[in-house]
This record gives sequence, C-alpha cells and structure tokens, in this order.
Amino acid sequence: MNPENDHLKELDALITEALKEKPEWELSLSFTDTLLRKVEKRLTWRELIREFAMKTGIVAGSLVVLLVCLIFPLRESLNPFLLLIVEHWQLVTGAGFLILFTFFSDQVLLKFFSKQRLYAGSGS
Amino acid sequence: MDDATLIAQVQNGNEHANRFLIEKYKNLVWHMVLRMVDQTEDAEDLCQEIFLRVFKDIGKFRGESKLSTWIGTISYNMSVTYLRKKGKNIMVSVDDYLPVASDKPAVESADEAFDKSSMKKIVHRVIDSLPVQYRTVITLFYLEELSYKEIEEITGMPDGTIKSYLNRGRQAIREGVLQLVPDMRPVVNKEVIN
Repeated sequence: MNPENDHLKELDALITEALKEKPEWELSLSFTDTLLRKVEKRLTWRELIREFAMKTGIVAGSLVVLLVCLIFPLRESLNPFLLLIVEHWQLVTGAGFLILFTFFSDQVLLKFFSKQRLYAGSGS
Repeated sequence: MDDATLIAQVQNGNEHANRFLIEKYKNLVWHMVLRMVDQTEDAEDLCQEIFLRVFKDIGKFRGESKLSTWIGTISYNMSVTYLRKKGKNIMVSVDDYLPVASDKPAVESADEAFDKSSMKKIVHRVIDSLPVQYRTVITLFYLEELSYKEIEEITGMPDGTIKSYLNRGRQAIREGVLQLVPDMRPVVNKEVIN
C-alpha cells in the first residue's frame, strides 16, 4: 500500500465531506415572515391598482357613452357648454386630475395603508 | 404537495402555499446566493428579491422543468446580475484559474491541524477563494445533489464545462489545502489512528 495514495484518499474524503456540509451562516429566523409581508404588500398593491383601473375605466367609459348619446340630439344646446370647456381647458383638466387623485386616494392609498395597519396589528 | 398543486395554490394567493414554497426552497436559494456573492449583508436581501421575482413570475412557469430548477435558474441569473453590478468578473476559464497562494499559515499549531473540524474550515476557506463559477457548480453538485442536467438547466453551461469545473475545482481545493497545510501527512495519519 502506498502511504502517499492513502493520504490523498483521506484528503479527498475530507474534501467531499466538507463540500456536502451546509454553510455555517444561516438565514435569519424572521426571513419567511418578512418575505411574506413583502409578498402580501405587493399583491395588495397590485390588486388595488387593478380595481382602481377597472373602476376608472367604467366611469370614464360611461361618461363617454353619455356624451356621445347627448351630443347628437342636443348639439345646439350643448354648444355653449362645449365652448366653455374649450375656453377653460386648464381649469377643466385641473378639476379632472383633482377628482382622479381623490378617487385614487380613496380607492388605493387609504385601502392600502389601512390593510397594512391591519396586517401589522395582527402580528403576522 | 406536488409542484403543480403548489403553483396553483400560490397563484390563487394562498398564504399557506406561499409560506410552504419559501420554506421548501429557501435553502437552495440561500446556499447558491451565499456561495456566489460571499457572506455579505446583501445575501439575505438578494434572497428576498429572488423570491419576490419567483412570486411575480410564477404564472410564466410552464412546467417544462422542475420547480426547483426554475427557482435555481432565477437565483443564478439574479446573483450573476448582482455580481456584475458590483463589478466582479465571473467568467473565469477553467484553464485560467490557479489556487490562491497565501502567506498566512492556515493553522497556528500542529495540534490545531489534527482537529478534523479545523481542517474542514481550511477546506471551506479554499472553496471561498475559488472563482464564482466553480463555487456555484460545486455547491449545486455536492450540497444540493443536483444532476449534471439540472446544473446545465440552471447555469446554462454545457455538460462538459460543468464536469471540467467539478474536476478542476476539486483539484484546486486539494492543491489549495496542501498549500495552506503543507505537512498534511500527520493530519491524515492521526485521523486514521483516531
């Protein structure tokens, strides 16, 4: 028996054993809970945005349909109103943004933060 | 729970399924990240980012491979991106790497060398000094016990390259250990006696 070969075989066995060993460092105990909170947060946000987009789409679509339905029979009486909108387009756009932002705050931001508070309060 | 059921449950937003998926695969992700990006504070954050990507993209998983392989691929790609952002070169040819020589003695005394756990620490020190690709392939093969095919799917390396990395990696570890502990013979003999 060659002692040099035995020595290398022993070393190889030691290396294999070391390679199969789990690292000393471990994930923190709160890893799963922290991650689940992040996942929950992202899912909630995505869901609320989807709902907001759908509701906005429905409201905007209904307004467009209403406008199209009214514009032909009441073209004459609507003209001054349309002119007013064109003249004060900045004001109208600003009001539109304000309504949209209020709707967004109510439907997304408030719901998101209250859900987060509820989640944090439950201790999970 | 099989992969298909687990994926369906995760897609339905079942929190228990989310927890189960994390618990089942967190070691695979952690071991890969730890070996690829070293023991930095960023490793755990990167693991979180990897799982967030898994949850985001789970709808794209077509079941062509095992879920573990798919998660391993995401872990590998995101770790590579992280290393590139940090400006680290990960592409080292199997022919280019030479074990890193160290001026510092690996063991303070002969007695320390006789301790098997100290020897394992030395082996781990040598592993840590290997290039990323070596460490990744070695971890997937020995620690996660994945097949060549699975490692190929995860890393995108050809079968031959994986085998080369494994062989050269082992050789480099052996040479590295012998370099750090030149007088290995008594160590091994003592182990045999014990």
